[in-house]
Amino acid sequence: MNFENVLRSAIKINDVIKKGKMAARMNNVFVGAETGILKGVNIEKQSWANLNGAKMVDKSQEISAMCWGNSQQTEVCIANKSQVVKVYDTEAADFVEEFDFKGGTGSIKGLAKYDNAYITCTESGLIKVWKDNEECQVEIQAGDNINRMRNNPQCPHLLATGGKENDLKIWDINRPEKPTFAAKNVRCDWLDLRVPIWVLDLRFIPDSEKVAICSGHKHVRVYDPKCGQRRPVLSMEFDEHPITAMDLVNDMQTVIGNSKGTMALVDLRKGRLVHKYKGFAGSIRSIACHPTMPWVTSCGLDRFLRIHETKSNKLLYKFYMKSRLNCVLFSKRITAETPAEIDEIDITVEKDSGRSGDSDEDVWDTLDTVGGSKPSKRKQNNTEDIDETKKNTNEKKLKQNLSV
Amino acid sequence: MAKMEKYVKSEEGENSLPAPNISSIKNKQRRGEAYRDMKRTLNKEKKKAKKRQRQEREALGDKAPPKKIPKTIENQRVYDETMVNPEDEEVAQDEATDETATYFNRETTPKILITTSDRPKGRTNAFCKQLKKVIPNSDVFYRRGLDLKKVIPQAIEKEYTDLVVINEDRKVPNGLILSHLPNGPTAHFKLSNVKMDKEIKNHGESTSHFPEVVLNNFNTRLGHSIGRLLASLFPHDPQFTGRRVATFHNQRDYIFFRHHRYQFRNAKKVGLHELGPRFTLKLRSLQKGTFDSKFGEYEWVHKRHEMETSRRKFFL
Amino acid sequence: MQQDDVIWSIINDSFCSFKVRTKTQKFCRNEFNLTGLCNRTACPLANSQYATVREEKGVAYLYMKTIERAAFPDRLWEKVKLSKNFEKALQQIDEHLIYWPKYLRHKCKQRYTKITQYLIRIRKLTLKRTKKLVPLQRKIERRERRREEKALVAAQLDNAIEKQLLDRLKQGTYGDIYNFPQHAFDKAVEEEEVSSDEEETEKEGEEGGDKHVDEEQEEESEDEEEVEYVAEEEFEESDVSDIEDGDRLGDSSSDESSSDEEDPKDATRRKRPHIEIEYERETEPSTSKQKLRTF
Repeated sequence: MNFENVLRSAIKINDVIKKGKMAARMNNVFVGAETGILKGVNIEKQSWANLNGAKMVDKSQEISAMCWGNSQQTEVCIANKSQVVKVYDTEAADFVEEFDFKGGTGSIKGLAKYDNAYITCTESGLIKVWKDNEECQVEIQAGDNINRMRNNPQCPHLLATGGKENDLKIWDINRPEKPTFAAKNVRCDWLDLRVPIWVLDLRFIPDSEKVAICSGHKHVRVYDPKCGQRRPVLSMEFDEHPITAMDLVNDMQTVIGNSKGTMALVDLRKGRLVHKYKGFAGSIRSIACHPTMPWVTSCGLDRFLRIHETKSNKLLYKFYMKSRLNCVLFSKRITAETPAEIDEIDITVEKDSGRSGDSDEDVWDTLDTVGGSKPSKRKQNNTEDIDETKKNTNEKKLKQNLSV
Repeated sequence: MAKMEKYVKSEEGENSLPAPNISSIKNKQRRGEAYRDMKRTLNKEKKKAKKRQRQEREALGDKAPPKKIPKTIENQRVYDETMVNPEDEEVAQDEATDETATYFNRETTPKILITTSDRPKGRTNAFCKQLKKVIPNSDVFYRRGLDLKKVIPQAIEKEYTDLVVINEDRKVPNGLILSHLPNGPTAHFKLSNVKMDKEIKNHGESTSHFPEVVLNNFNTRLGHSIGRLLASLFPHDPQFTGRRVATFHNQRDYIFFRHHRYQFRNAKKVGLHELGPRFTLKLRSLQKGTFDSKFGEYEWVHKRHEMETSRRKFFL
Repeated sequence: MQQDDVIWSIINDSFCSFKVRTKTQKFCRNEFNLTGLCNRTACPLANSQYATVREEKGVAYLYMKTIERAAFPDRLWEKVKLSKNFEKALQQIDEHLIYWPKYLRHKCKQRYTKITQYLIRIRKLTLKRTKKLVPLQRKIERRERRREEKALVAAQLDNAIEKQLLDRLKQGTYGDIYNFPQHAFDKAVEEEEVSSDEEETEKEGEEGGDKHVDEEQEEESEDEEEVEYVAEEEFEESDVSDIEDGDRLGDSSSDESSSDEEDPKDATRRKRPHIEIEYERETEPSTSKQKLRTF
């Protein structure tokens, strides 16, 4: 039928438009380096760029924490060793603001944004809330030697802190005097020796109040404040080296990376290893999972940024970044919907070609249902990403063509 | 019967080579003979081909096509994207703020502490003494079973810039740990083919002049870091009058160390007289801080199953 | 008791699966054995009243076996957890094994002492540094050795080092200790020509001649030991040194090559004893001098 070809050509045109728009696409992954440079990676084009000049920064501005500035993920906030926070706007492709958040000693180990206010936590344990570039009344002392501070993405007023010999504490900004939950150390080991604590990274488990921790003593632990016991609900040991980074895939699985370059997917319900990811040569500093796609990106001291597929442990992309990398953020911008839809459209068209004398409405009906279906896993081969808007234009064009 | 057929077929063919499937002949003697015959004929063919080529070459003269470059492992090397471009700004800046940068900025002068693992035997002790001669401004200390973690703060107090630990196994030195202090990288090498100066024929006597350092083939980013680490062992200003040169040559991830005295005979020739020890290093791991095998962060670790999959892939 | 004797006579003479014989000793591998040796008094099978101390995961337990429970194998061994306090535990052993044979009591206490001692030792060792023994695989070692040999052959070390040194010589990193390269000298000379001819020619008239003679000497003595060349240089320059050093040192601009070459030479010269000999240019006319005169 003619409209088959019309459909196909429409899809092709759409592809072209898509690619044109993608050229102006923003970066999908933001990486902060030890030299102070913020890098953006564009996965479709398989290229990366330094977002601030190499000459403008030096080692004292080593990026130590990064977070999203707003929920649309168009702003990236980076905090560095000299306690300066900068905000980078992806739309404007430039650094928009710079704040000097002095307080406490050491580099900023945790950065979060809550309601237009920045929450910073320094190594010495001083958590401060800054509103409109001014110090707020709220100030929390979280103990010494903090290694990481994060806030709960679903309840942004809850913060969790942990460090060396400084166990997990969950704080509520509205009640800064005492932590809402302070963890207790596990029992002594079989030799009656105290088990040391060294929290290196922590994450809030979504849809619950649980917090998962990875420690420098090879432990992965899960704490549940609701449970009533201050001791961890789950404690497992992994490999032989400190676990330096972690991120949650969903509330059951987490990806952890250690200082020898072993990254693994671990099941939190049973405390078992699912599988390991290959390809690393150096310590892994930061891991970020994509919110919707089964992708996980990691960066580390071997100066490479790697993107693996979470479930199949296949290496998808690898980028050499020239500096040691400290933090990584994964944008949610890539989605799987439209390319899969296009594939499905093709299939339905082919099926239709078998039938002769089909009415237009039948074809349009099938097209509509395809639009509502879930994305398939064919995404692996297809790295293009297309918006809902484009899909609509696709349909509009088809309709126009047919009407003629 | 099948074998006879094979022979027959081959005779009918143009090359009249024996059957390629020699391995199916069960009789060892006959198999050996067949193999030798095959080799002989192949060599003959090769020689004829070469002669023909040479004649063609001479016949063509200038118009002859250029000689083909033989494939070597070095030119078949897998492309490494971490090869350092000398004009790369970012890398230059990274190196300028490196832990070894204090040496290159001339803020510190190297002072080396050489020690061994527990209870060293004869060869290891002799090797340490020779290293002391090669590297100026170095001291050898007996280990006495101390923890390296306790040795390091003490060494930092006494202003040592580098710590060299020679690991011994079965009375032979087999590992070298080079740790830059106070917080610099730690490299762990496998040490092999250690030869003392006495074992080298016609060796020369070393002097106490500061040697020159030659670092060859440290091309990748990792190679650069290691090269800088090795260079920071030696004092800044070599005394050219001493004509001593210490060479670290990297070939296929093996670092060969040689110690020579050179002498320029003219502008085109230089004579080398070997002194002192020679050994080979192979990088096993590079750690970011000082030596801490349990809690340290590794910048590069040799993982055999992942990294030794290709014979053409090298990391330094 | 009758049963014990019977059991022992069977075990001792014929076969016991826990017995391990060496040339001098008989050992008992039974996990409940108090001493570890195969004896009439220490055999847990041949004694219906028996006690041991065993350790599990850092906690010591006292196991006791009595005749009354001989018919019930799964209830045979009574397990008592011993206190972590050493003295209290010994008292506990005494208390539980009251009225038992002295031998068993004594051996139990000895065994408990040994257990606590080795636990203390383990604690000390885990806190201290431990050597990690990494097994080497022969195949891998062989492979690496072979590759190293091949890499050594491919490296052509001598050539590489020589090439590096010659490159450095060409670049001039050696300053002007060595004076061979004719082309380098020409370059230097051209530089001087370009910068300030007149100044140079006056002074160089005296110096250059010497320099040239140096070079000639060097070229002649190419194959000879360097020692000789130095001596000859000394030989020539000695008279000129006092007069013209000042001038040379004064020339900063383009004559750096010459001043540089003089300074180290000066240093070496002054250290060594030298002979002052008057030197006359006319004795050695040469083509190079003509070259000099042309510019």
